[in-house]
Amino acid sequence: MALVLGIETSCDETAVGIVNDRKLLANVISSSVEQHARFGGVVPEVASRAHLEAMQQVIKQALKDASVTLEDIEAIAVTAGPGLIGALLVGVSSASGLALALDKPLYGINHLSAHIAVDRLDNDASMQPTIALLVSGGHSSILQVNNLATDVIVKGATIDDAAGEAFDKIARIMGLGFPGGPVIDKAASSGNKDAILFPRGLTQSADLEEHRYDFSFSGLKTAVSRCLQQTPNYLKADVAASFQEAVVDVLLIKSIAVCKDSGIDNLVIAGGVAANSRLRELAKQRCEVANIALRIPPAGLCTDNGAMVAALGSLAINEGVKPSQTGLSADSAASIAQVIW
Amino acid sequence: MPVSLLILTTHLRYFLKISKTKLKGPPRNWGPFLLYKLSSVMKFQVNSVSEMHQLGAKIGTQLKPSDVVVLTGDLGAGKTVLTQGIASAFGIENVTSPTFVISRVYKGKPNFIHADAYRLLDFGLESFTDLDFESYLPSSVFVIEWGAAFVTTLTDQYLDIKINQGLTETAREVEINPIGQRWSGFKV
Amino acid sequence: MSTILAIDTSTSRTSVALVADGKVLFTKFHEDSLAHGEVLPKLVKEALAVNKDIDLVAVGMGPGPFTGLRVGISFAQSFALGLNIDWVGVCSLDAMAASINESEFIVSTDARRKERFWAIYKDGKRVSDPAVSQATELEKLGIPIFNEGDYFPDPVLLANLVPNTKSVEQPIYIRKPDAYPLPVGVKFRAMTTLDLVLAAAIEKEVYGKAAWSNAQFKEEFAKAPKDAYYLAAEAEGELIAYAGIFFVADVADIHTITVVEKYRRKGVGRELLKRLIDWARVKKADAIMLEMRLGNDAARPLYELNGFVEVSKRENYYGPGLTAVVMRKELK
Repeated sequence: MALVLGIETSCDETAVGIVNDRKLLANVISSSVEQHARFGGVVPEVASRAHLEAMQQVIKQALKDASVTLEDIEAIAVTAGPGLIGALLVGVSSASGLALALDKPLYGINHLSAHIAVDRLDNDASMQPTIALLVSGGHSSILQVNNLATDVIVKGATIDDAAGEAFDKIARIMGLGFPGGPVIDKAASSGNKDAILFPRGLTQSADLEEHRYDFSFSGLKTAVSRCLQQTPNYLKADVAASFQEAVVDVLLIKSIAVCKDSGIDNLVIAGGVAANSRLRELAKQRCEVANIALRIPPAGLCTDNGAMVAALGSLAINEGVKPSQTGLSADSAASIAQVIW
Repeated sequence: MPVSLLILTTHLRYFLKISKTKLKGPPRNWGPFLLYKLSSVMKFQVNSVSEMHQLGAKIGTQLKPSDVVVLTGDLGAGKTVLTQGIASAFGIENVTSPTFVISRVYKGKPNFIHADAYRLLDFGLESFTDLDFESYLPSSVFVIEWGAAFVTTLTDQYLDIKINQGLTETAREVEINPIGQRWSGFKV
Repeated sequence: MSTILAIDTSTSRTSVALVADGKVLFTKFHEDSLAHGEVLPKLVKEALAVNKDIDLVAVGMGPGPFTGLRVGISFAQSFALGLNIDWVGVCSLDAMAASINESEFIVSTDARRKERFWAIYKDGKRVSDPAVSQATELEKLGIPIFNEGDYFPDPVLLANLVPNTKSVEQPIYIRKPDAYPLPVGVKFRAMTTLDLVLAAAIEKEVYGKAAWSNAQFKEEFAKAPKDAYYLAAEAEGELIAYAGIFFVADVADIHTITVVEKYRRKGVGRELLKRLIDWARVKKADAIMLEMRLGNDAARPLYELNGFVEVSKRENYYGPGLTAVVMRKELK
């Protein structure tokens, strides 16, 4: 049993979650989209300044929601990377302060692994080993997870843009708003996914050698952009649906290929893009056909949050992983191979 | 395939002529003579992803701590590919687009900082200065995509690179404009 | 009996001190401008080994480089939360000044690019707000300057300052002067009906056939201030630029941004655009739109740099053969 408080500040969100082993007790996220406008413009949510301003409140709210006090907390977990360095430092420093004051262990967590770990919450399914498709604004990779706390191998990754980023950029040039994921998902729901056949990156036979499990969304991005320029009266819904289909299709082709080739017929899909309705729908269909056991966390837990950090923290404790040394270092470009440090 | 070059350089230099018969006291314009203006824009034709990468590597080998490179170009122009080339000169092989996270710091001597100010274009200069790149400047090399609107808050000496569409779909024109004394004599 | 843990990370140093009723139990610092994150917890752990009964946390709130500053403040606040004790913020420059014995002086720390964070002290008290200026400007004040290097914010002094100063609750962020200062002598103000005649004249000169007529101008202007906002820029008593934006069904539409030839490329257009965008945000518009002539290259980069994206083209919008480019900036 482990009551863990997890802090996440790797990018846009200031988030704190509290779990008791695999039970979710609190999940507070401050996405300062509603930051008050000051003269000179709205302070963007990624500002490290915003993280500092929100942190204390978010911690207190999480404790309140979970009906626990700081004295009850047995360990602190914090995203130490990858992410925006200024933002990470606010989270890491806050976590270090808490841990020292409470005299409790601190676990520096990899943001990417945390996304996968969130699947542990509120169920007792056995997860390992599994293939994991991790897709978010900043990352797109396929991982082989032998032990989420200690042994994660990268099988494939994007060579240019992340899938979530492609959604953001396309949404922007279509004038649909930010973040792109939800708005494209919505627009696509009334569109024809087969209206336009957009390229599926790195799926040519030449790519199977060098980039078998890798992604490339840059070509798709330019294809959509060109299509929009050349078709002034394009139907937003159709472009959205066709674009979305191209992304989802290639994500699933590759991850299922990894499952088949590795003989591991478990697949977890995690990260912000895992909230996409078409990805969830098509994944279910294709995994059923391919006899792969599929797990996707609830949409609300797919985007950045503190609960996922706490979840990985509690797994680390169960696995007997040693806590961080005092002076935990934030690492902006941490690789997935570094799960806990 | 070698990178084919189309170099357009323009040099402006002030020359001082001193006539022996007129020499009475210091010549006029003695000060400005030392401050000669060097303007040297380079243009490259790039025909493939691999050529863009090569061009980046050539630039990368010449970068030192405190150097800032600014990249401007439309979506899909090849900014990230060029950056991958530059990063390869520092032994970094896994560079991907940092649009979402805004900046990635690859620790080392020097640090290699790959940033993308695309998301900050909607907000003021403060959103950029909040990143506090100034603290990292002495120990790092920067490549900042979409950085043109913000770079002067960090430095007034940088390499201003624009990537434009070339004559064919896969071709690009890369224009390199060195700005500031640091870059005098810079060649690729 | 009051044991204070004092922290400062507003300079290249990370410093920690433990002071109990004026007695120094622990004081240590580490010099490294990018290592505050790793160093601070280590120093605090050392301090706790000496005495862990802490009653209050005091932390330097800057000014200073953000990275280090935020490490100290976020650590201090969370540490205090963990121990269920109060934290108090102190201006870091004060902790530097407290060790200097002069009747009037300036304390200054590095703000990079030859700029300094500074404040004036007289008879032991700070008499100016912390500010940032060029080092050369500071010298002109003719007051002795004590720079970072010989002096640093001292956490022991920071702790000693606590009983007598009001807590600084927010980090001291000082905005550096804009990299693009506005032209000297240009004033911005709301447009008035008196400006309309002049504006219409400028309109005609700049846009020729595509100019809005006096009547059209007046009609749009009448919507101000509820649904429209018209700004004027003035230099030497004359109207040199104007801009207008109006609000219809959740979207703000920029009617015009016009700058006379003589004052172009001086940042006037950019400032006008910035103010129009702010107005639209305050009005809670979902987005801002504008149309401009295809081929009007001068203005396009300005809009793109401010987050406008082309969304469509309208042929013959301005007249036969004159295409309009429609651009849009999302605000939500």
